[in-house]
Amino acid sequence: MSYVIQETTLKDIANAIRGKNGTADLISAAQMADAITNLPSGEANIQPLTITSNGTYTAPEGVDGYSPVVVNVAGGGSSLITVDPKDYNFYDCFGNIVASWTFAEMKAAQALPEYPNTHPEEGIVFDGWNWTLEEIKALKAPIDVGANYDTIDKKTWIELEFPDDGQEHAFYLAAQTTRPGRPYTTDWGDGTSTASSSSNYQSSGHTYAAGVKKAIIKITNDPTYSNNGYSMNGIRTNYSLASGKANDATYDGTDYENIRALSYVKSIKYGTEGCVGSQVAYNSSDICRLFSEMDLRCITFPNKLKIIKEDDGSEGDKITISYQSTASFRAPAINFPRDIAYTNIISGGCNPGYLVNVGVITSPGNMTQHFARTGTTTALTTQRMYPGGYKQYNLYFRYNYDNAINYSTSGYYSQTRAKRIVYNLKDAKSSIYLELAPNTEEIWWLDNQKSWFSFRASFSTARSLRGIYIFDETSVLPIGGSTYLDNLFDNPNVNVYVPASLLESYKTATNWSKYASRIFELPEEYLL
Amino acid sequence: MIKKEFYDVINGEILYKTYSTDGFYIMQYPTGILYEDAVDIENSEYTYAESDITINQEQESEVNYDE
Repeated sequence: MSYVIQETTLKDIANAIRGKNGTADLISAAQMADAITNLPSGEANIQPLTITSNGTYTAPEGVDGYSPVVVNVAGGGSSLITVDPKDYNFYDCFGNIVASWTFAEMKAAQALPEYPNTHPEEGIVFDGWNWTLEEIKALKAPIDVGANYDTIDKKTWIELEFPDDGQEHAFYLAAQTTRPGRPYTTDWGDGTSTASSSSNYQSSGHTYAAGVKKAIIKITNDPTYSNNGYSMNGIRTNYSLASGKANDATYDGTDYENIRALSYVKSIKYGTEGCVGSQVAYNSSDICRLFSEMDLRCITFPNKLKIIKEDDGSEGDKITISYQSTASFRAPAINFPRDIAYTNIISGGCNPGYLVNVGVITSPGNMTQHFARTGTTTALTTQRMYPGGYKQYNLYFRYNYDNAINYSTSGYYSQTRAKRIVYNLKDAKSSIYLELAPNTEEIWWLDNQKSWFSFRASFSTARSLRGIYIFDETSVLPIGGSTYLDNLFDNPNVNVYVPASLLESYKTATNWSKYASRIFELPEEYLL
Repeated sequence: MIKKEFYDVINGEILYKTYSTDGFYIMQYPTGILYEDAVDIENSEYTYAESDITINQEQESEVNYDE
């Protein structure tokens, strides 16, 4: 049997070969098989692409294709088409993953992904991610990254929606000037405004006429004060007001009574030139008792949020979102701003929280504390999320012990749905006790520095766990007691992965030796 | 009081368990690490002494930042 091959077909094949091997040599039909066999092989050059308008997209020269492709041609607010989670996930303020990368894609990346939507109907514009590419690569661990936003007029917006009951509705703002000379202006969104005086502890209220269904409060500093910095305390609440007691927007020496009906609040968008939170209690600079009873559509922070301490008026670096322990707080995402050293979400009285319901929580890459506060007798704050982190994929836990000696350390993070929990603890001199969530599949342990007590965990709750990945190459991570490892290895799917240089040390180490057959070298793809 | 007792044989390795009979953490020497109990191979270089920190004391704490 014989076939006829047209000359043009042979030329096309020869051109394809030359296009791959980079030569201009003529190739006979007899040489083509060897030429194809000898073509260089290599990994595909895949780069991420974000599409924000209709069109035809062709990979540039040297790029074989795109992954992932984030599509948002509708251009409407939260109407994003989200992507599936990967090793690195980038979240918007609505808890949507708008881009995700594998380890390989992050290694190849030259810049963080573009943000696919500016949310014009929300009055906010993308202001940067709360991690930089350099910080992510330096961490060498998978994380979730959050988008920060500024408002279009740089003021802080508080969006209200009132019940359609034909009644007037009063709203009280946590109008506190933190220091004399730091006034602010409140535009109530109905043609009226209030200019604060420069006194401390000033609150203000406003009554909306019957029939008003929506309003956007905008808060800004008075520009006539050139040295005022940022004065606004933020929003605080009081139980009695929320439950219907007559307004008493005064400071009584122990607490403020500010917002009557927090359920009116649908979104809070901090602006760079608007109010900036400053916690008044405990001489700290946190935002405390801020969001009780709120069911927010979104809460946003600019990339550079300045916080003023109440005690001396200087700039602070802590931010705490807190709510009363008998109240609830719901939001799809909290993407903390950059340059905040301390972030936390805790319940009223700044005690550990129980009822917070947040889809995803991302803290900035340059923070030193996350879900924790400093103290001389305590370190980690108990965090019980019911069911916080329900959209979380990587939960990053950062704590700097500052060499504090703690007998009373306990750090729980249960009920998150995160698949991976990444611990990055510095200068620990006490035990780390983990209460693992049922959905956790992987624990990444980055640093063993100065562990004085030892790592312990209630592994029996971690039914999905399949691997503990320990990256510190300086020493074996102490494990608290043999019972903890018994609990861990009762799950036949669980193995422990350690640096190759410490593999034999782990297999003979205290409490690890019993499970030497379940300890392996770290997989190559995890060595970032 | 510190007690050391036979624990198990795993993959041919004889293991011993050390713990405090009075519910204290035990301190490992020379590392200084505190353990609730410690399972070591037979010829381990480590020795242990009882600390003055009770195991329950360490776990029952709760943080109250109002104080």
